[in-house]
Amino acid sequence: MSEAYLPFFKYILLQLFVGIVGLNAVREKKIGYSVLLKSWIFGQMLLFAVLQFLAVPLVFSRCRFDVLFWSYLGVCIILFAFGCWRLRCKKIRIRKLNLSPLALSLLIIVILLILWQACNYFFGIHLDQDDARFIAQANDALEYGRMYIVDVETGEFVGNYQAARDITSPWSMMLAIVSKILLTKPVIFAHTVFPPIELFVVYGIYWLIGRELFRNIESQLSVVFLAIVVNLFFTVSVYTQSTFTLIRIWQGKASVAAVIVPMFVYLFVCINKRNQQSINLWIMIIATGCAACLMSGAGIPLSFVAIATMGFYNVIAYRQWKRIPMWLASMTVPLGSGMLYLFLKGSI
Amino acid sequence: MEAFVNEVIMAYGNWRFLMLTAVLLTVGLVFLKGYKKSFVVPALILAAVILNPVFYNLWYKFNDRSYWRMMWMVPIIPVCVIVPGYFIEKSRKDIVKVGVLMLTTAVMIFCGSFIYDEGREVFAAANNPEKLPDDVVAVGEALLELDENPTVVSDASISVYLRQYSAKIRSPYSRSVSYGTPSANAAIIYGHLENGSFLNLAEKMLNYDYDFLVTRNDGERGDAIQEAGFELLNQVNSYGIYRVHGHGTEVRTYNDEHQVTSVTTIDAEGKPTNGNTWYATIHYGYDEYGRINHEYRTDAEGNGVTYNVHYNIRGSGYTSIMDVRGRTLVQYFLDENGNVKQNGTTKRVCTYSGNKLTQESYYDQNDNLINSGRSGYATIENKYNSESELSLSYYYDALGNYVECGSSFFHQYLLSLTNRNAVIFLSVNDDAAGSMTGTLVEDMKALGLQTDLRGQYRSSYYAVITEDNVLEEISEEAVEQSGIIDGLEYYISSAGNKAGKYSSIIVNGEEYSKNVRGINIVVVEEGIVRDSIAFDTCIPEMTVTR
Repeated sequence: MSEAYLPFFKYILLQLFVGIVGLNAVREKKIGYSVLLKSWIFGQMLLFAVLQFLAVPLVFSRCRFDVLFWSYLGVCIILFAFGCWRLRCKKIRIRKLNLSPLALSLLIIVILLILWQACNYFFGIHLDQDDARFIAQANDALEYGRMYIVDVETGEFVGNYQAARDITSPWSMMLAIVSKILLTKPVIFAHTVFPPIELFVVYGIYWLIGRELFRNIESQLSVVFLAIVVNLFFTVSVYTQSTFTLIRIWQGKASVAAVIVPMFVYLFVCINKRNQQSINLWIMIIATGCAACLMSGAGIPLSFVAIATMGFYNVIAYRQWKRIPMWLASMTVPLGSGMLYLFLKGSI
Repeated sequence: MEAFVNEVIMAYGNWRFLMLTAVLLTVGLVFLKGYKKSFVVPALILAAVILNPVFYNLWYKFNDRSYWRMMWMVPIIPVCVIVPGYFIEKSRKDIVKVGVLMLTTAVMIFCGSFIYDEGREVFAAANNPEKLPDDVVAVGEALLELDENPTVVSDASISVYLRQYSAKIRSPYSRSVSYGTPSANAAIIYGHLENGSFLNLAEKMLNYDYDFLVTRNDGERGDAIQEAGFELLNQVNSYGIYRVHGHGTEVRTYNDEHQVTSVTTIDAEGKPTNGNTWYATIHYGYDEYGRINHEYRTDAEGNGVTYNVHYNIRGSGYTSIMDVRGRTLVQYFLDENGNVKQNGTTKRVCTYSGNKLTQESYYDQNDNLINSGRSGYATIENKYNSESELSLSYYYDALGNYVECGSSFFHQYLLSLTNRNAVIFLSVNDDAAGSMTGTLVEDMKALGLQTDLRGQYRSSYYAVITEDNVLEEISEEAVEQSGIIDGLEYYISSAGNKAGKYSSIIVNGEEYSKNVRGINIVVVEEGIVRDSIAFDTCIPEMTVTR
């Protein structure tokens, strides 16, 4: 297990980079705990979205993995530079929290429970045969520089993608890119490094939902606590989102269930509650839609239905006709990805 | 509606969480002031959009699986955390807040089941950072020490994980043998490994270019493996790593793009050898997208060799033109010198709908349609069912006349047998599964047969169909049956590829089976043998023997 410690700590350090990238999508001038969290989560969504925009055409045109890697890194560095520049315009105000005994107890319980779940991921092994596909693809990209042009079962070079979802949802390339940055193997990154950190993202989103809806810190922490409890027990079948969240979050479809679904809830709660034309929130909806498409073929229709339904509701319920262009724009990527998927699959 | 309800139950395991969400949404509609418009109503709408049979039916119009993934968008978790959160927000006393939390937790426990319950064995303690079975990591390491790019045949318990360990390891199959549909070659290789037919396995590994075998080798199994000519190189826990004996050394050449341009088998002196095949070298060419579009085989002397490049079309290789989606548009067949053939069938032209091959035609050097194959066809038209599976193929000659072969003809023949007051005998010689389609299986079911021959590669099979009874048997061993029906004395037997390759249908002491590869059929009506025919369902052409 010791081989995983160094990549794990490097990945934690990398989250600073992600947080600074996220500042590009955060409007608040003062940076406190919640803004830090928000910018970290927004940063992750932005980076996933950028990867989707770059990877789809490059995989489709059968470019080498290195072309994707270096172009992605270049864009990330530009976003990071913009984030640093934005950081100069913001004031960091990290204050000591004055918590009631109940809030403090809840905070400690919540942290312990998340750490417990994260430790299960870090020290535990859960075997899932779905990995035979996309971790093998990440391995091939890293070891041979090829993107989806081998038979993933056999390793035979076929020169063409095997499944339409390989092009529209190149999640394996995310595993390959981060593994290359961390100088580790995709299988170690996917199974050991990524899941514990991603769990904090998941519960971070629930914290943001609580914070958006409630003023009282105890209520906000209750939201996170109850989300942990639901996840622990809403596992009555292998198909629930909680099962995917706590057992195999490294898989693209599981990340859709664990991260994307609450993220959409958070973003639309923000838009509904604030009832103001907030460009950065709509940009985050677009980015989250892209991230969903990147993660899994399931993320394409799921994000489309989520944006179409909740966006339509927002426009109608609040009679904010000016939001229609942003609503339509936010559906473009899932719709385009869906059309491309059906086209490549031969259905249209 | 029933299918929709079944999928909902499958996804949620039980109704409790769904009912809890419904109750909490109702509570939200009544009590959650200030949150109805921003959260409760949109949550309700989203749940209603996804959880309804109309959306379910729409989903399966465009998709063939996994509606349950859409159910993740039903806001069960947000509702379960926000509605209790509201009451905590509104209460002033800590005891009430704690009470709400404890009550909600108790309800969750009642509704669900604990994920880390020991009985579920979700997580086990990991001994390696890859989180793969320890045997797989040890085998992977050992293989990469033996060879930089090992080609490996292994037990399913290993093969699923090997390429997660490293993409440098090549294998004929991975997950498909335990979940999915393996390629024909993979199915054969895995079949031999599973059945312990190590001599056959060695032959196939040599044919398909696999060097190493990784398998459990306890007891007599280990002896059988070595007797079949495998050399034990390493023992990793309960798995033996073997090299298939007698495998010639291969020399590969590469181009600037690191693509393999030729693979040559050499002997101990370093000279090209045909070994136990008829060629020594395969030459490859690539198109601008890096896809193999040219293949040409030469023997140890460097002369081009001919073989069945495409079913019955002989040549030394082929060169193809593919579109950007990797679909072969034109395939030119090569002569012994590696040039495009100038006589006989020189090219094959394909047309598609999406990724589905809808038509293929064969031409001579003057671009005229030419009859090919044993049945003499020039054009094949493929029809697909609503699930995009190939259902029937229609064959036409160069003049456009329908040729009695292919799945369409077999389909017509099977239809002609339904509702006839006849005794029908079916017996398989060698293999009948190779080109069976779902449509043909349905036709056979209409005759009263229960066996689905798809996937039953090289199995023995017979069936005796009468008006009110059906006898059938399928096995890897030879099968036989005899009896008397309406004064008709019969004996029927079948042997698949592994059991001796023969078919016999004896009626009143006389042999009527055509005894050729595929399904041999004899039809007896009113005590008279009306027809004896065979369809070679092993190949798409389904050559008819009458």
